[in-house]
Order: sequence, then structure tokens, then C-alpha cells
Amino acid sequence: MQAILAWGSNNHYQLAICNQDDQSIPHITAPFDRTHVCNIASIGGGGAHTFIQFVDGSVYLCGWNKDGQTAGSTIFNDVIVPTPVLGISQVKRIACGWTHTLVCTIEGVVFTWGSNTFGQLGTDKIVAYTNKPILLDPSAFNEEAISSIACGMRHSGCVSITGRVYSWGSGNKGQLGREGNHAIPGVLGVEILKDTHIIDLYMGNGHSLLLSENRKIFVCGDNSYGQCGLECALDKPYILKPVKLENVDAVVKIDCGWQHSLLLTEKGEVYSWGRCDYGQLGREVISGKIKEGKGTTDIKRVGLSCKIVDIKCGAQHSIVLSENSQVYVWGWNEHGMCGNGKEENVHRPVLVNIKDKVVRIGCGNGTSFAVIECVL
Amino acid sequence: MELLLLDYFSEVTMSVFHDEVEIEDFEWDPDTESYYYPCPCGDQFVITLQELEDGEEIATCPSCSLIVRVVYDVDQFSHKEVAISQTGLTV
Repeated sequence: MQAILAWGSNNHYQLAICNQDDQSIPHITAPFDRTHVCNIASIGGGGAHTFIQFVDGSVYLCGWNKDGQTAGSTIFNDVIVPTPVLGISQVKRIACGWTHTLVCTIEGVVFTWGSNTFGQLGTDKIVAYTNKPILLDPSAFNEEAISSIACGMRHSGCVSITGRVYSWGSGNKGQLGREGNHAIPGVLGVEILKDTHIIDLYMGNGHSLLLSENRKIFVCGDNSYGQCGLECALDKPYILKPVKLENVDAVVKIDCGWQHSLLLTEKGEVYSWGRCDYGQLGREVISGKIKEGKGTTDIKRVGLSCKIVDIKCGAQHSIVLSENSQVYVWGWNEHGMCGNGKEENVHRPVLVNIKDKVVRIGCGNGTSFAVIECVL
Repeated sequence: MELLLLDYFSEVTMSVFHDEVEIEDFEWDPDTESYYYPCPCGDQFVITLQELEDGEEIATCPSCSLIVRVVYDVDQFSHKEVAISQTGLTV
């Protein structure tokens, strides 16, 4: 038996606790239409909507539905109780942007729904938003199966089983890894970085990180807070083509906050870089020139005394899961995202007080989640 | 001396803002006659057309303490400019 603990922002019912009050300590979610909640594969969210993915490939969403991002039947009405998405099953990966959602299935096809104002749905259908999942034509991906997907705030991307990468949506900061602009509905994904085998990708507010087969990171997009980890001219902070980070090896996981980034190494060590003014990096930062010391390109280790097995970024906070099933959080805490019962920002990792064994962690923009194993 | 003071002033003022965002990055909602930009809390920074016309440059989030500075050309939004362009047609 499993249960979900949720805390943080809750203005659109995104914590799945059937009220709209922010929670500054972990709060167990309300029951929804699965008699036995177990085998949760992943949990997370976007701007103010939340997904729960089960091992059987079903996905449930709740929260903000202004643009149909939860696929809820009544656009604009918040979805209070996590609800399955009609016609979607066998989900392998799910990701949420500010107001849009992407999934890829075990078969390797991609569905998108929610806001399309910036072309973030990657469809040639001219729609501003939709609550009905759109199947992306496999011809846009050279008829190859898709193995992973990602959503940034207003951009999206996917990776094929042979390592090809495609990006679409808002591209005004280089976040698509190519020349781009604000984009408009009706534009399909475009392949980038053709000479490198990519296995996964993650996207932030205006930057993107790609993980290659040989465990290297490629970065592109907005680097104004140092979130791409590269030195560049302060007046030209946009990286328009993916660049390899040379000093980073043996990466097993990465994630993007809005303007900060995390990586996890084989050894279970966490490194952070980018925006730091709310404590997003969880470590000491030597004040630099970037945005009056609000960011750093230095990729440095976060001081954690135990081996870490998973990392996730919210918009301005970070959460990690240790080998011994404990959860540490740091960063922006105005809405209780750090789960310590306070509102002051947290600049070093703090242990979240959860007595049960935590098996999964997740984040939306202003939310934090932990899946626990519990006895009936 | 004046320059130094200006530098100091811009640093102090910048630090209160969560970010500086160009008006092009905001989404326009004709129903509320307002511009919106995502706030990391899950709500939205908002500034009304009226405020822009009045030269206001701070967009606020109704759910939290964060504010952003809106980068825009005041002339494009001022009443004066609209009036000139309208009369310009008859000249």
C-alpha cells in the first residue's frame, strides 16, 4: 500500500487534498477513484497542475485547468480530485509545463494537451488550447518511437529510441537549441544536435539540458542566471545551440528548475548551479557578477552526508531522495515548499519530517510530493 | 558622484524584483484587459492595460510577495501616443 504526501502552493487544488490552502508540512492526499493506491511510478506537476503516474501506465491529473492542462472535461474549472485522462493509457513518461502536458507511451507515441499559445503542443492543428489529447504524427519524428519527453515553461521536446532530439514551442531564449522566436500554434518539432546520441532531456523556464548516451550534459537557452553552467557575456546570455559541459562526468540524472539546475552522479552526489537568491542551490555561493550575485555558473556539490538516489526541481526549490528513503529539501519557501512548517527560504538541505519509508519524490512549480510505503 | 548614486540606486531597486520581464513575454487577456506572466508559486503576475498606460512598471502576484519589473516602451501605451496616432490619420 502506498500513499502520497503533498506540500507547498495550493491555489488551484494542485496538492490533491480537496482544499485550496497552502501546506507547509507534508499532508496526506485525499482518496481518489483507485481503491488501492499502489505502484506509483512518478508524481509531479507544472504551473499549478499535478500528475500521478501508475506503473500500469495510467495517469491521473488534478489542479489548474484554465487551458485544459489537466484534460479535465470543463475547461477553466480546477480539477479537485485526481482524474484519469480519457483515452490515455500505457504511459511511459509524463511531463508538465506551465499550462501544458505531454506524455509518451510504451509504444513510443506522444500525446499533448493544454495551452498552445506558444506552439508548445507541437501540432499542426491551429488551436490556442485543448483539453483533448492530440496524438503527434510520428512522421514528425522520422517514424521512430519516442522514449522520453520534457516540458519547459512554454517549450517542449522529445528523444527517440535511436537518440534523436526534437524541440518545439517558445524559442526566444535559445531554449529549443536552435534559432527561434516566440513561436505560434501550428509548428511541428524540429530535430537538433544531429551528431550526438541523446537519451534524456529536461527543461526549465528558458533553458534546456540534454543527457547523452555517454553521460555528458549538453545545455542551451537562457543563461542569464548561469543556469546553463557556462561562462558567457552578461549582455548576451542566450545559448542558441547545445553546448557540451566539459567538466561534468558520470551523470545519472538531471533536472531543471526555472532558473537553476541539478545533476546526480553515479556516486550519489548532487551538484547545483544557476539561480541562488532563494537558496535554490542548497550550498554556499561566492557572490559573482551575474545578476548582482543572484546566480552562478559554477557547478558545485551540495553538502549532503548520505548517498542520493533521486533529484527533482520545483520552480525555485529542490528536493532529493536519499538511499535510506529520506527526503531533503531547500530553496524558496514562501508557500511551504520546503515542508519544515516555516516560510523563510532554506539555503541548505533540510530533512523533511516523514516517518514512513519514502519511495518516490516529485515537484510541480510550487509543490513538493513524496510517495510513502505504508501498512494498512 | 551622480553616476555612483545611480549605480547604487539601480542595484537596490533591482534586488526587490523577482525578475525583469519584457512585455512581449506576457500573455494578453482581452476579457480582463490585463497582461499575465507565470509566477513560480503557480499563480500569475498581472498588470492591467490601464496601469501600463499610466506608466506603472510593477506587475504583482495576487498569491505571494514576489513582484516583477515589466520592461516596455511607455510611449507605446500612453494615452498621448494613441491620441496623436488617431489624429495623425486626418492630417
